[in-house]
Amino acid sequence: MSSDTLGIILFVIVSFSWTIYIIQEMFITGSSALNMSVAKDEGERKQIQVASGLHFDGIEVWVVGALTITLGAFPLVFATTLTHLYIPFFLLIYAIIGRGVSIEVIYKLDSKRWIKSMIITWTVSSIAIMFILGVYLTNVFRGFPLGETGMTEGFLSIFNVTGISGGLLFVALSLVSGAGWIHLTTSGDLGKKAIQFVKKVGVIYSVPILLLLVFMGFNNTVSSIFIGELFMSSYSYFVYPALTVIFAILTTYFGYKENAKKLFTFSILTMALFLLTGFTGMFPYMVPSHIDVTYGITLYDAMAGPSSLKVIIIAVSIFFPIIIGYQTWKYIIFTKKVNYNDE
Amino acid sequence: MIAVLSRLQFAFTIAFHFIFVPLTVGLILIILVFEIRYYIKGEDKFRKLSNYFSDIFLINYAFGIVTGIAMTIQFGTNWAAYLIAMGDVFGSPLVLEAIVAFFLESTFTGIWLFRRHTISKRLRLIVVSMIAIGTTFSALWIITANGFMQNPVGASWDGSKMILENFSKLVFNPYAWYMLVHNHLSAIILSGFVVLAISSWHLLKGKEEDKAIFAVSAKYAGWIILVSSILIAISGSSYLDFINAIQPTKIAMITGTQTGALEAVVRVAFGLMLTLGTVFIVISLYTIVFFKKYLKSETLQKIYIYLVPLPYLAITFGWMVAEMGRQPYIIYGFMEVSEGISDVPVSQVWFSLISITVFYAILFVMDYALTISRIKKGLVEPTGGEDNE
Repeated sequence: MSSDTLGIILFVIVSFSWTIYIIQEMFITGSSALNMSVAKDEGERKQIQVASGLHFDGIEVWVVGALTITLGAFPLVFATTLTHLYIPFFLLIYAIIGRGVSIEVIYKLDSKRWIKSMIITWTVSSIAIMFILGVYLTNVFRGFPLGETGMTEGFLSIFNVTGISGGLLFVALSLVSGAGWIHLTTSGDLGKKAIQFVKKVGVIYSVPILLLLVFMGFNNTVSSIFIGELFMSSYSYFVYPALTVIFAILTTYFGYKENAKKLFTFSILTMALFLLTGFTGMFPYMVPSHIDVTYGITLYDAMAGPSSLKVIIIAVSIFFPIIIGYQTWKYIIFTKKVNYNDE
Repeated sequence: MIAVLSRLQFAFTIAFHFIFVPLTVGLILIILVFEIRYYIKGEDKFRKLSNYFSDIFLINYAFGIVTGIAMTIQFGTNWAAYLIAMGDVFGSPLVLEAIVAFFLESTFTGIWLFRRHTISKRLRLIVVSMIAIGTTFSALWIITANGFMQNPVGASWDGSKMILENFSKLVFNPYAWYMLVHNHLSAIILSGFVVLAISSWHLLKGKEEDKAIFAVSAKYAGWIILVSSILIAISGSSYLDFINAIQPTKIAMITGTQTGALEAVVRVAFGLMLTLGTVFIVISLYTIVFFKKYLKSETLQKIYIYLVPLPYLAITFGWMVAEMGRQPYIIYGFMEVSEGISDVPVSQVWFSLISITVFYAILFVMDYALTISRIKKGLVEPTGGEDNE
């Protein structure tokens, strides 16, 4: 196998890991973020905590996987992006640590102040995780101010209109899918309240609007993903963005109808197709430049040597199926609804 | 300035991460000993001890995992030049650590956390073994990466970066295997001291009905510390010759043939590590020989509660010898530390350094409060729930 093929396989693996991570993280953080708005007492909050706490550790494997595979297979990408986004990445880490710790320890001490502060940490960090990831990935698809010799602007440039819309889109989708998740995995009227909440405050209506803002933002730069290598090679790739929009509208529709199962499914599909559109559009760039397309860093520029790539591909092909198998099994095992006063 | 701050930050974050790591790595092996005893003899006290120390393990495991992610991130944020030069070699061990070891650990820790009270004796043993294998693998891959920085083998330098040539040479780097043994033994000693301190606290202030059981764990801890302290002394001295061949400057720093401020620090750290190692042998030997006296002596029990910082200090000193002894290199003989940093505004490094210090201080207080409150609850029988209390 040529080095280029190995690089392409790893590009797919990295994109796949990010997608699998985000479409799970979204409903975990979403249901977590809703706890302060929909749980009327500690019993109901505990239902949400168990329903999301059961899975978050397994999900975190995916972000660690996505990051370290990028590090190992495309060191230049990892180094360039993280140096540029130094502060956002530290904030992301704080949010991930804050969430990871708080979700496990809320009820470990019998102190009202402890519980209160852990709940706030849990809620704020959950929203922060999704917002930062949204801003980050939207900018990855949109391109960075990468000049001939490096970044021409500071990290604040990621907070452009497209980036912020992307961040809000991720938060909105996460809240919507989280409401669906609460409905599917808890008993009592908690789930109904959650669905009604995202409908009442209008989150469900914001999804298609934010998505269109992001797509228009993508198209506003020279590195627009919609004129990327793959989109130009065949128009059939335009099925992805088209489906993303359709799924976003269906998310709104089923939110309006208060159909939890379909709301959950279509919000996840919206996210998955959005990411698929982005990764397809940026190929073969991994750090695209919106100043001049040719300044961007491609996967071929960034990839490690062939022996290193082979080791990673072998490890991934052995362990990803095992991880996926285990996690599917875990989801099936824990389909039983979490009851009020359930430990 | 960036180099100084980045080093400070890396040292601080890894030291903080390393409060939890040796404790979990060692403690799970001690828990495994209890589980094996329970499996073979079926004695209930070993099940109780295993459950109790598993709670301590799980709290610290959660903190260890999340602070570990901060280490990976820094290779990109602060050590970009190093990563670009080393990514080819460094990447594969880190990927394997993430998807092989981290996967095993988090899978089976999940089961252990939520289901250990409902599974069979046999499955309990399997789950604990898997976690132990996972943590050991995790250590192996990280030490493989570090081993390359100390003794670069299996790759070649093309003038600007390392190219991996032989993966098995990278994995079977003798330096890494020596260090794996040494590190694991130090983690076991540390956990032994933690078990001894906790048992002493219970003998001193715990519930009456728990005392007989904690006398058992104290005895186990004594034996575990003794055996590991002797083995660590043997393993340490056996590879000084090997280090002499691959890192002559490190040995020169230790023996004092090379002098200066850095060298003095390395030499003193080496001396303190050796002294503490000897102290550990003496303490554990005394505990075992005069075990009946220990069970009655409140003074001894009180002292043992406060011994926990000693193994932490020993580990820190050993670490200073290993990492300061390779200075000024970041990859021994090829790349200096100052060449490895990111091109990032110094204000941002200040931001992260200050914020992470504050953040970690809060985390430390949390971990401390949780661990201590769990320790004091003593042996608790499960109430049928799936929580770890």
